[in-house]
Amino acid sequence: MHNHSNASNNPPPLPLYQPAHGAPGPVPPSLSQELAWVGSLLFLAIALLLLLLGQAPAWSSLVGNIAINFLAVMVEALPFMLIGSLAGGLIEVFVPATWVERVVRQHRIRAVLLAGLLGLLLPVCECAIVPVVRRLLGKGVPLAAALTFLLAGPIVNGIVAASTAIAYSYDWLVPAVRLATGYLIAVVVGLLLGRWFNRDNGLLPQWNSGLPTTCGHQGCSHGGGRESSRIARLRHALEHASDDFFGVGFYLVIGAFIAALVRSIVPMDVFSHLLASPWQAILLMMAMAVLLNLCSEADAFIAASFRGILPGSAQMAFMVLGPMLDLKLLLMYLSVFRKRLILALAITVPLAVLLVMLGLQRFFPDLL
Amino acid sequence: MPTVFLKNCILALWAGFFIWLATFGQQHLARLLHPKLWWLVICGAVVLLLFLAVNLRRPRALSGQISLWWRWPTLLILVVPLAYCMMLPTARFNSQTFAQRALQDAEGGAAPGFVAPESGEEEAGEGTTETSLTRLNAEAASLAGQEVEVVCQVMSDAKLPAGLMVCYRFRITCCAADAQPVFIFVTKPQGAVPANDAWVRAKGRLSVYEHRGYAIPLVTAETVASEKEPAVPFLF
Repeated sequence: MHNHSNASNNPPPLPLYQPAHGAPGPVPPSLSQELAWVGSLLFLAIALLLLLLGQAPAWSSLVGNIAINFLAVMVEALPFMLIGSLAGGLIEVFVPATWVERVVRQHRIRAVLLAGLLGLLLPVCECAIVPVVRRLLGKGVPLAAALTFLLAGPIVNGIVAASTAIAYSYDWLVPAVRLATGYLIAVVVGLLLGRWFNRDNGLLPQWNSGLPTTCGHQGCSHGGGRESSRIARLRHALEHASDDFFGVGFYLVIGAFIAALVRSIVPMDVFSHLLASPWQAILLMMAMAVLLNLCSEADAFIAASFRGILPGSAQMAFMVLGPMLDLKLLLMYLSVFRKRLILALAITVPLAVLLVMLGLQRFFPDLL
Repeated sequence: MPTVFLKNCILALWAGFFIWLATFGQQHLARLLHPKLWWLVICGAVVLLLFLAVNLRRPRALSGQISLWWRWPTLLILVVPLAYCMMLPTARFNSQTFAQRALQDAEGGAAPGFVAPESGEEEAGEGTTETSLTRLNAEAASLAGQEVEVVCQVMSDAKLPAGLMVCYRFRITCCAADAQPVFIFVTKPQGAVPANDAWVRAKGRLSVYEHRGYAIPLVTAETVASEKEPAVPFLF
């Protein structure tokens, strides 16, 4: 059982997760839980049906392709998500909430500006970032700063800069523009949504402060003096990380499955034909970014294959939007944000990317 | 209690799958992930084993707030990828994948996109004498006139110029999902033409073939022999 026996000098912890009346009792399901249950069953039925169809010769090639894409995305993304969960668990247990409060709660705009650069210190891809952001929010990081880190983190980091440079034959202007536009869009969207949303109307209840899944480990000890040891705290970090794996993992599976379907069924040609104008090309590449769900460390190579075919602004739109908003991420956002905030993200992020890329095309047509 | 048991089973299954991929299943892993990222699989297995270890020691009372009835579909979703593993022994990228992923020209034929230079890593392949399709595309003009040897899958198509077939492979950056086709033309051999998607080793002189406005490397083949699928079929 949890208890609140703290070291005497520590500030009071956030409320601990406590099963009601000591023994766990079933929680009555909400409507959204019932809908999620039906949706999950539907997904399971479709996945199983496709697997069975794959045994028939007429379907085996297509389902084989889907299986390779699906497993490839999972085998690559799941370890990143596990590492992200682990980082989130360590943040939950070892980063004091008072420190977070001191650093990011002093000045809202400064917190957002700093959050956009956090990826330089903590280079995580989009699969890993959701568990980390969940735990940062649980620690009391302001919503605007967390959103900015969520959007900028998978772009504004050294690994992505290097992979983009390699894909574009070490033309360092491309990663520079990618990181700069990614940072700009993340900061603007973070500040904008931070004005309209707060922790109460933007986060799922359990990620708002003081609720079950965040136990404010900075002072709490989860039971007994022995528990304050580093090993015990590490164990608690792993428990939180494991909970995150089960809380976010199935969204990753569904997103990877949809991405594999799209990657196996929709021909690339669809995206390269409607190129009457740059804005059409930008829109198409944005659609492709959302549908393909590629890792931010790999998408530059796909974008680069369109060199000489599509304008640079369209390639950039693909590289900037994908790590911020793709199908897999949209599903993973369901594990932390309310639907209205996800909708706002789904509107403002593409709009911001479109505007920035049109501006790039208008004022710097030959930049890339 | 059943929820905790189910969660532990899922962690064990995924950990086992990752350990199998990293040890006995490397020939399957090679068709999914770039070798430079294989450490991820080991890392994933270690993290999953850690999760399993702490969950086995975890007090039962801390889990199971939501009854198993409402949780089992989301838990089962986590093992769906493992069910798809049964396709791994037979599943291959093929000419359908090539047609679906290649950019198309105005007449519906495959068009080469921009091919970035090689990453500098060793290309996977059985032999050391072969030239990679990536290099042939990137340096076609300078290599023209030289004898080259390529290992690739082939595809014949009515849209192709008479007497030519496509020799293709897929190039990956991270995983198979980002694979992009890289191709050249090879002249069809005398006699039996290899079936679509068959692996071949073609030797011949390189030239540059102008096709619908694109310059595509062409190997005028002296020999086209069937070849075993390489251990790592992708280019990097």
